[in-house]
Amino acid sequence: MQHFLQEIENIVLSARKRLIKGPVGNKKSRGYGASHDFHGHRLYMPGDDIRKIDWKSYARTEDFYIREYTAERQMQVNIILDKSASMDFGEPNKWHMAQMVALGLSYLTLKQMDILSVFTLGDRLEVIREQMKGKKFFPELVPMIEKTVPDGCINIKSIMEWDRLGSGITFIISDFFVQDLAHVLDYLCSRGQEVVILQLLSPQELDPNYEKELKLVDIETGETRFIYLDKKTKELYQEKIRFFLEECKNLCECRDIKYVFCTTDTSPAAVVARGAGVV
Amino acid sequence: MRFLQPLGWLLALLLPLIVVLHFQKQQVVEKKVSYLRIWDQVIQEIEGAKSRKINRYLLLLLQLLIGLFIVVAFARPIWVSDFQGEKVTVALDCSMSMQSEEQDYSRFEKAKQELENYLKEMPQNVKIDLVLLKSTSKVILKDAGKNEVKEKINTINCTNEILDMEKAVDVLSSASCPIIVISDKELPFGDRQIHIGGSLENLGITSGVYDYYSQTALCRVKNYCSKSQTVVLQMKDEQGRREVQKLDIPPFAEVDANWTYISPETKILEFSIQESDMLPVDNTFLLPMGKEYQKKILLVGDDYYLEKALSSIPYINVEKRKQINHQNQKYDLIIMQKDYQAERDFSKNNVWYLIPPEEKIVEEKVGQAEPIILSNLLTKNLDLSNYSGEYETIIAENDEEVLMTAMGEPLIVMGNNKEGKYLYSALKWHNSSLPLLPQFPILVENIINCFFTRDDNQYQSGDYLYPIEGRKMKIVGPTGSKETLEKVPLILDTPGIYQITIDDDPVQSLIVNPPSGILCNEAKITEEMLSNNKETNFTGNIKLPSSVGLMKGIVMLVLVLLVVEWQVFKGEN
Repeated sequence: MQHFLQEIENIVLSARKRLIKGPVGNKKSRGYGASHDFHGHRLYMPGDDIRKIDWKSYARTEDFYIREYTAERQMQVNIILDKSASMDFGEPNKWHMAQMVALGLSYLTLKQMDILSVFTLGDRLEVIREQMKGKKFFPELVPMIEKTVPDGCINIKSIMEWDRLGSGITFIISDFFVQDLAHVLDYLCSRGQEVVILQLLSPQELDPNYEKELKLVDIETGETRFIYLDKKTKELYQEKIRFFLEECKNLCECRDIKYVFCTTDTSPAAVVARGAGVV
Repeated sequence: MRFLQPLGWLLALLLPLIVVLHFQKQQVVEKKVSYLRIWDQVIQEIEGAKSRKINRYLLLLLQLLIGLFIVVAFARPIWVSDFQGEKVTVALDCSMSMQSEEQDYSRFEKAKQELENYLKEMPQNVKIDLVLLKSTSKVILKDAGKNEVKEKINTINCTNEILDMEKAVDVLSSASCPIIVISDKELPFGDRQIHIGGSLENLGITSGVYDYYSQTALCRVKNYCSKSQTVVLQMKDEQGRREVQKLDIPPFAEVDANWTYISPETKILEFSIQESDMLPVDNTFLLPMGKEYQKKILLVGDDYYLEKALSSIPYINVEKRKQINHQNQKYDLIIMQKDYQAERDFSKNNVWYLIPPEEKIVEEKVGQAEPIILSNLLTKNLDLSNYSGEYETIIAENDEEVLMTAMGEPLIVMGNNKEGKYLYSALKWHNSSLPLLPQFPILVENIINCFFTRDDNQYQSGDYLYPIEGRKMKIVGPTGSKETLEKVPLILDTPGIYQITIDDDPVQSLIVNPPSGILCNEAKITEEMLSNNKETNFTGNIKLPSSVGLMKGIVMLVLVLLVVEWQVFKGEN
C-alpha cells in the first residue's frame, strides 16, 4: 500500500468541467462569485450590488459598469465501487484491483482537500462514507473498503435512486457486466456529473483458457450452461467480448464520458493515473 | 473364422477400460464465469455443438474398434473354408520339439486341440488317415471316421524322437488324398499346413563323446533361437564331481565344450544345461564311459598279434575263448578264426572272419603287394605300403563292399545280413611283417570300427530294441518300469539308463539320449520327391478346408483406423 501511494503521490485530480453547485471552495465554478479571478464587466442593472460598480469605468464612460469575478466551489468526488460477485473473479483478482484503484482515488481526493464520498454498488447503492475531507479520513476508509466482500448481483439502476450527488467527478469502478448502463450514464450526465468509467476485466475473461466439455456457472446468478469449448468457440467468444467492450466505449464516448479499460494484470497506479486523466 | 490363440480374447476384458478412460477424460468440468450473457450469445451461434458430440462418440467408437481389432489380432484369427471331399490324410507331428511348452500348454496339446477343431469343420462322412510324424513316421489310422480319430488322438502322446523328413515323405507319398500337416516346423510337404506355436526358444545338447586316448570329454550344444544365448553347461560324474563352463552361442549355431583329464574310472558323465528353456528334455545328455557300456568283443581261438592289438584299444572290452559256446552273453562283435556255420547261426551278431570259408577264396598268393584301401572306413591313420607276406584273394558278392584290394583283387570284404554285419579278411599277417608295424593295431581298430556306426552304447530316443528269439528278455527303463520283450521290438523313447536282462540275468546297460536335433534327413528331400508326391495326390475334385491367416490384415486395419482417429481428433481441435 505504501509503495502504491508513493507511486500516485504526484497525480492531481481535476474536473474537466466547471462546477455548478456546491459550497464555496477552491475549484473554478461555472457561476460568478467573490473570488479574485476577474471575469469581465457588464452594464449595471437595477438591483445589482452598488459595491461592485467600477467607478473608474464610470469616470471614463459616464456609464455604470459592474465588475464580475468567477465563483470558486468545493469539488465533490464520488467513487462507486462495484461489489457484485462477478468482481471476485480472475487471476489477478478483479476485486483486489478495484479496491486498490478506489483507495488510490480516495487518497488523491482527500489529499487535495476535496469532498469524497465512497459507495459500493450491489443490488443497491450503499454508502461506505460520505462527505469526507482531508487526509485524516484515509486511515478510516482503508479498512472499510478492505472489509467489503463482493457478493450478490449488481443493480446499476440503484445509482439513479441516489439524489445527494454533489457537483464533481463520479468514478464508477466495475466490470460493467450490466444491461442498463446507458440510462445510468444519462442520469449522471443530466445531474452535471463528470463521469469516469473504469472498466476492469481479468485476462481470463478476454481469453478463456478452458478446454473441451464445460459446465459454465454464472457467479452472480448461479445459472448454468453446457458448452463444448474448442478453438472456434473460443474465437467466437473473443469476438463477442471485444464487441461488448466496444459497445461500452461507444456508450461513454457519445456522452463525453471518460472511458478507461484495464485488465487486472495492469499496475493499479497506472489505472489510477489513466482515471485521473494524467495519461 | 477360428482363432489359433483363443486366450487372446481375455484381452477384451480391458476394453471397458477404454470406455472408462474416455468418459473420465470427457467428464464435464464445472467452470465459474463472471458474465453468462456473452456465453449465451456464443452458444446461440454455435449450431455445431451437437455434431461435435457426435465426433466425440465417433472417437470413442474408433478407439473401441481399434482395441477390439488388437484383441482379435492377439487371438490370431484364421479363416477356414468348408471342406469338400471324401478323404483326407492328417499328419500330426509328435516329434520332440512338439513337447515345447508355451503359455502352460505344450505344442502337442495345442496341435491336438487344433486337430479337433479342424475335424469339426469337416463333414460327418469324411474318411481320415492319421499319420504320426516322428523318427519312424507311420499311419496309425486308416479310413477312420471323425469320432474314431478324436478317440485316437486322446491316447497319443508326444515322443522324444527326431522328425525324419525322408521317412515322413515316404509315408505320406502313399497317401492318395489331400494331406494336412499339423506341426510346429515349416515342413515342405503336405497340401495344407497348420502351424503350431512361435519360434523355438531352446538350447539343446546334440552330442557328447569321450576320447579314451586323450581322456577328454566333448559336449556339443546347439542354440535353436534367433538370438545369441549364454548358457552354463555342467558336467557331472556318478560320484557327484561337477564342473561348469559358460558358453556364448550365436543364433542357430553349435558350440563345443570340452573337459580334459577325465578319469577313465568314471562310468557315466552327465552334461546338463543349467538354464531352463521351452524344451527341457534335450538339456541333459548322458555319456557312458564305464566297462559295462563298452563294446563287448569275443575273440574265439588263438591269435597272439590280434589279441595284443585288441588290448591296445581302450574303448572295447575283449573276451577270449577257445571255443564259442551257448551263453546268455550278448557280444557286439565276434572275431572267429574259421567260418563255423553252427556258431554263426547261434551268434546272430557282428562277425569278423579271419579265415574266410573255402568257397570264398579264389587263390592263395605269396609276395609283395601294396594293399589299396577302397573304403573310407579303413583309411583313418593308415598307411600299408610295402606290405609283404601271404594273402588270399576272395570273392566279393554283389551286395558286399570291398574294403581293401591287392593287385586289383579283394582282400577284405564286408557284408550285411539280417543277423548283423560280417567281414572277411584274407590277410595272413602271421606270415608277414604287418603285426610288427605300428600300423597293425590301427588297422585292427579301424576294422572294428567298421562294425559300429555309432560311438559306444549310445542310443537315441526312437531307436528300436529287438528281442532275441527264444530268450526271455526284460528291460527296466529309467523310470523303473519293467517291460518284457517278445517278438515286437521296443522303441526306446524316454532318455536315461536302461537295463536289459535275459532270463533274469542282467546282460547289458543302455544309455538313451535325446536326439541330436529336431529334424533329420532334411537334405535328402528333393524337389522331385515333393513334386511326385503332389502329382499323385492332387487328383479328383477335392477342395480342402483352407485356412488364411487374418492377422496381417487386421493389423493393417488397425493402422488405418489409427489414421482416421487422428484425423477426427485433429478436426476437433
